[in-house]
Amino acid sequence: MQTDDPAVAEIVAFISGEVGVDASLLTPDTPVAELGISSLDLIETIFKLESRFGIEIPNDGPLSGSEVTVGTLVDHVAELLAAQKAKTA
Amino acid sequence: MAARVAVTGLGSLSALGNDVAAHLAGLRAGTVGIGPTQGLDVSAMKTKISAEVRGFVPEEHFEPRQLGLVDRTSQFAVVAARQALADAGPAFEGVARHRVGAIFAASVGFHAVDDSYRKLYAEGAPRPHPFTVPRAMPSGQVSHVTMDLGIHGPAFSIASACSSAAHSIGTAFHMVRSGMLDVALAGGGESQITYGMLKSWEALRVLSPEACRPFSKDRSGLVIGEGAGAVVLENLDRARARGATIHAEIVGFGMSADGMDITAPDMESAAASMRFALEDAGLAPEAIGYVSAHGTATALNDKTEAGALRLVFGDHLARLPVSSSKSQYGHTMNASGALDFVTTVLALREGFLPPTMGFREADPDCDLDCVPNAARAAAIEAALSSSFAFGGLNAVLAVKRFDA
Repeated sequence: MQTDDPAVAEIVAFISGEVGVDASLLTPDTPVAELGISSLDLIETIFKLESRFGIEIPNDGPLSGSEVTVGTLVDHVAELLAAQKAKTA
Repeated sequence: MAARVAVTGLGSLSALGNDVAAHLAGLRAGTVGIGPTQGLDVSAMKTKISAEVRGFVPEEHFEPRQLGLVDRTSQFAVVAARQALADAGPAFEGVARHRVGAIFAASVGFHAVDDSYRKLYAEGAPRPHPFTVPRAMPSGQVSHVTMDLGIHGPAFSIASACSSAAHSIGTAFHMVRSGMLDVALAGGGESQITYGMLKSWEALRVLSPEACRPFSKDRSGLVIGEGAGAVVLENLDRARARGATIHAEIVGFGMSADGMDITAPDMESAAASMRFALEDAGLAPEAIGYVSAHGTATALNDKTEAGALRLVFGDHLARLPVSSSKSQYGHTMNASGALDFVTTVLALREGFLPPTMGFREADPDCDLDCVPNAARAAAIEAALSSSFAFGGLNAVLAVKRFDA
């Protein structure tokens, strides 16, 4: 999770705003489960990321495990975003 | 030995207003809460009227994080349940967790379904909102009531179309009477005022384009309403011991199934459910001083209901006022049994007969004193509140004035 990457920074800012957690807590190794949000909040966050960035986060992708970290989430979204840009470019 | 059961808390939201005081004032004044539908665009519909809950601001009642998970129908149920419990006072105090229950109507979260499916089908969205399922599920409202009020005993939803809330109150009554529960919250909320559901009702050709006129010869169908009613039912001895205000005593519950038709009502079966309620209450027909009718204002319902009343009450019907408050707050479907029960309790407690508004012309097929167009003062000892649902599922509640 390259925090100086503007795409990553945008994703982090979006998650922080939507979930209502301090951006400083969104470090790569923090498990999402420790952000003080419920499993439903995570599902909604994924839905909002999909809507906001026009991507589809697959059900069987890296976010399907039980020990997802902030880094895994952000990197996955950044990858999907990059793949989508490459397709439309 | 069967326990006596007190009604110690009332809650309501309807087109007459967003609490019981407003509901009562509207009933007394003969207010008609039906008007042009404002909550959604009805320009493509033939039916442009409904009985909406107005001025309800969800954010005043729920945290933003809750709201995404609570459909309008459940919002109404929770707010009415909160009102009922606040009215009852500390009814849960000193009661074992498993002896407080909640039974509410099973109402689909139609706003969630409508919004999500529109996005999916009409707008080509790749996926519906992930909370569509928890918002739409018919048990959602009772779950939210238990979460909101801290109820941990028996809790479930009952589906019997427009009798759902009456079956819920009746079942809760029997559970308190049998000694299984000390206290129960019961009722129902409903909002079907969505594009999809209004169109669906219109397609069924039962909606009136202009007004709800129960028992009037020129009646032209029902008017869709929305809202919620809730009551606290409590072991009467316990309620008295804690000094609770007892609004009325619920004394009987009668049920029947027509076993005939998925929409058309059956006179004999409707009569049977009223008789069973009287029998359960140990009341003679002559003891009843008021009936809150199902009174939907469809041609068939009102005629069938009038006939059923004649079968049960015979000559006493000439002295028995029967009115339909749906003329004031519309047909609130799964909530109607609870709103009508609240209406009936208020009539007993306050000593008045709620009117049938919009009445213009007597119908020989509905030869009733329907309390036309204005409320009347009357000291009522006992009353029935009837619900005769689509699919022939009937639930009638008997309630008595309580003189402390």
